[in-house]
Order: sequence, then C-alpha cells, then structure tokens
Amino acid sequence: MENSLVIAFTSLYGLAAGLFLVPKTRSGAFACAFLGEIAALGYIFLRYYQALPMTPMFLGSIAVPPFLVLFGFSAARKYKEPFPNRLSLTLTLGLAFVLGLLALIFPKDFYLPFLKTASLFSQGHLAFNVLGKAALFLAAIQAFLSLTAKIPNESQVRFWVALGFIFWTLSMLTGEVWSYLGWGLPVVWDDAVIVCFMATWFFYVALLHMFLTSRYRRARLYLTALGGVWVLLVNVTPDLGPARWPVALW
Amino acid sequence: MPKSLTALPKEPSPKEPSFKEPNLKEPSLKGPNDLSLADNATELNNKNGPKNHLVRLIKALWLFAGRLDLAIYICFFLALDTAIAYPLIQKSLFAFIPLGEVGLWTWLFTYGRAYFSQTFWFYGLALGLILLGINTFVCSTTRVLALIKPQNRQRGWFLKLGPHVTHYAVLVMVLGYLGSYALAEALPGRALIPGGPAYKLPKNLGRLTATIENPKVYQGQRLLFFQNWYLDPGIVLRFEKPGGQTYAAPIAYNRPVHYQGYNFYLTDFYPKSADGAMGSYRMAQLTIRRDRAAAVYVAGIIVFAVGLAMYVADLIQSRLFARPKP
Repeated sequence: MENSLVIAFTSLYGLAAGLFLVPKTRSGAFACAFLGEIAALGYIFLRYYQALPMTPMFLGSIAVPPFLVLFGFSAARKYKEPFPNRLSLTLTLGLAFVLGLLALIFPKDFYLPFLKTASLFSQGHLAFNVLGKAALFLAAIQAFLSLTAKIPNESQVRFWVALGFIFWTLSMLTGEVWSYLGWGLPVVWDDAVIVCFMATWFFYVALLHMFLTSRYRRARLYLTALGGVWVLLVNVTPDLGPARWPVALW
Repeated sequence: MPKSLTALPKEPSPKEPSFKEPNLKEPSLKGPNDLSLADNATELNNKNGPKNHLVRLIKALWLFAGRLDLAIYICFFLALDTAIAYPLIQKSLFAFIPLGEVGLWTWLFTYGRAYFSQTFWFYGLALGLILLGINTFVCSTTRVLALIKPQNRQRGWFLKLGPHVTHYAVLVMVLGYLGSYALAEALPGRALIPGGPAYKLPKNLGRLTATIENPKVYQGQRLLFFQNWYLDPGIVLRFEKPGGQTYAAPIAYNRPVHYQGYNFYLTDFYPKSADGAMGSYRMAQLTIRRDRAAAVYVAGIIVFAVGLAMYVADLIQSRLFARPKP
C-alpha cells in the first residue's frame, strides 16, 4: 500500500511538472499536483500510523516532496509574470518527482523503528529535518531562477535559506536533546549520519554569512543553487537503500 | 499611542540620536551594525593612531582573527571535512563508538592515532572548531564593543545585541560539548537484574537495586513484529545510601535518573518481548555517566534562546517604529 502511494505521488508530481510547461493546461497541472499532495501526505500518515509512538525510520527524504511542493506554490506566488511562475513550479515539482523516484528505486523505508525513537524530541528531529530539507531545496531552485533572470530576486533566496537553516538548527537541537536523554551524550557516533547533519549546517552557516556582506553577490547565488546538490548528495543519499525494482502491492 | 509613533522627526538632528531604520537587505558600511571592518581598518591606518608597533601588530592580528571572510572559509572547510567523514565512519564504526565511553583525550591518543587514516578528519574538525571559536569571539566582541559605545546607542540598541548573544551561546555550547567529552566519566554496559543482587555504586555512593512495576507493552496489530514488546519495562531503581537512606525513581528509555551527580540511562532491556523466551528472568542494561559539563551546554541553549528572542524583538521593533517612506 505504501509503495503504491509513493508510485502515485511520484508520477502525479512528474505529470504536473510537465503540464506546467505546456500552455493552457494549468488547471490539469494543479489537479495533478493536488492529487500528488494527497497521495504523499497519505503515505506519511500511514508510516506514522504504523510506527507511533516510535518514529518512522528513513522518512527524512521520502517525506520531503509534499512540503517542497507546498513551499514551492507559496514561493511561485511572488512571481507576477507567468513564465518564471510556471518555471518555478515545474522545477519544484520536477525535484519532488526526482526525490520520489529515488525513494522508489532505492527504498530503505522498510526498516522497523527502534524503541528509543519513542520520544517527542526524536519526532521533532525528524519533522524539522524534513521541513529544513524542503526549504533548502526550494532555496536552490529560487537561486537557479535568480541566476537565469535579468533581475535576481535575492530576497526570496535569502528568505528560504534562512528558513531552511532555522529548521535545520532546530532539528539538530532537538536531536541533541534526544541523544542526551537517550545515550547521555549530545553527539552519538554510533550512526555516521550525524556528520552529514553537521556538514550541511556548516555549509549554510557559511552561506548565510555570505548573505550578510555586500560582496559575493553572484557567488552566493551559485552556492545556494549548488546547495541543492549538496543536500541531495550529503543528506538524501544516506536515506537510500540498495537498488530494487519498484513493486506496487495494492 | 506612544509619542514615538506619532511625532517622529523628519530629519534626524545631528545632536539628538534618533531611531534609524536598519537596512536589512544591505548592511551599511558605517555604523554599529557594520559587518565589514572598514572603520577599524581606517582607524588602524590613521596617522593619529597608536604608533607603538606591538600594539599595532596586536590590533592587526585582532582584526584579522575577527574577519567575516575567515568565518566563511572556516565554515566551508568544516562542511567539507565533516562531509568526507561519512564514508570513513561507516567503514570503521568500531573506532568511533568508544569516543563516548573512554573520553576525548584517551580516544585521541588510542583509537584516533591507531586508525588515523579513518580519523584524520576528526583532528580537522577540532582544529576548525577552535579557529571558528576564536573568530566568533573576536568578531562578536568587536561588534559588541562598537554597539555599546554611548554615541552608537540608538533606540532599542540593547536588542541589537541579539545576534551576538546567539554567537556567544554557540561558543558556550561547543565548550560544553568539549567538556562533556573530555571530562565525563562513563560506566557503560552495567547489567542489573530486577529483583536480583544489588550493584555497588562507584565512589562509595551506596548500592543499587531494581524492581519492575507496571511495564507497558506495544499493543495492536499495526507493527506485528513489535507485538508485546516492552515500550517501557517499568523499572524502578532503588538507591541505598551508606547511611541507610533510600531513594527510588523510575527509569525508562529516554528518561534517565539523576542521583548524586550521576546520570543513569537505560540502554537495553531483556527479554524484549513480554512473551520472550527468558522465563521469569529479566535484565536491564544501564549506562552510568557523570557529566560535569552538562550545565554548560544547557546554559548555552538557554542563552541561545534568549539571543534569538532579542533578535526577533529587534526585527518587530524595527518594523513597528520604521519611518514611513516618502
């Protein structure tokens, strides 16, 4: 059932991404995106329904698409002209499609949770991580659009970077509290993923400081766009398992 | 309505300080919030400035150590350093797990040195954090000193300290983590049999026994694997002081017990399931830790929250008292 929902939202997001590029198919694109949201949120609901009071395992990347799309629609409203608006939505939905496809081909969501994840801090750590990834991916898309536009919309990029960084910091803080209550240390080295969190946090600390100066105008946009690739490589790949042919079990 | 909302002067008089709307998009190159070090550099090169070479050298070093560019480079270095650590930790997890058990110094000179080809990034992380700590301290102190000068005190100047308070808080937290790894005492894997013999606590703290009261098991069919698993084994720890006084407290996963400066963590419990194959035998695995630096990073987290609240209050104030654009 869960796998079928992943197949459903991935294909609906892909379809919506394509339809937003075709003129006069806007309503159809919105309908596909909306249905994709329902399927994706349904998948997340099912995972939580099974795992509660524990935290679902390896949900940190597969749960990103619906929030990325929600943020993406909010960001696209800022574009008054139709083309950047459509391009922004296509890129957002396209990235959601790619994330869904990766989760389908390299599944890792079949792992059972462990008892120590039955904690509010563990739940908070996961939720803020998902929101952080979504905001940082969107910042990368907005930076890419800014780089291709005649007048860069830097305030939009800065907003999503800052929001993503706040979520990321909250995810790290809740994770540290959970780690301290569960293991007695703020950083537990039993799981290598801990350094991936640190790596992305340092990356965005550097990037945010670049936004505080009047220099690096172009470089910070390039780096924000590259930040999407960074998050994909450093933070999404640990949530991927070995390649498997996707099977839908209705 | 406050007077400031209705009667703001059109042009600020040079003698009386008035509120100036901060430019959030581009920081100005002059003023207390200036993020470049142009003013200090000018002062350094001023002919009327200090002539003493040593003072000038120290000042130049101070300015260099507090450069914003330096913070950016160090953070990118730390990002790369920790990113390459992921495959290295995965490859040799056994070398990193003892880091929380044997303490930082012992680990650095044993596991760290023996598996240097896998742990070199950790030395890079330590070096980077030290450099970032120095840079953050110098940078924040320079700006705080500029902000608290009487001529720079505009309305709400105190709230402008918010970002610097968060920077100091991060420093305190990192120092707390360092202290936690360097000074903590850990006794991992202490087995305790509920209803069984007492465990003698270290440093003459007394004896420890355990009982089981009201265990909670996983109910329902949602995850069949977990049916009847203990979510909370319901263990109650009983501490008996050498004088004969007793103290009892329940312990569970993610719910440690604090006693006489020591923290007791439930690491594992056997059998996992209420219908497990151990009959009436039960065993709890505890980790006992004494973390002298815990208060430091808890203080850091609190100060961080205060700094963040000051920053948000400053943003709100800036919007409330912003002069309308002509």
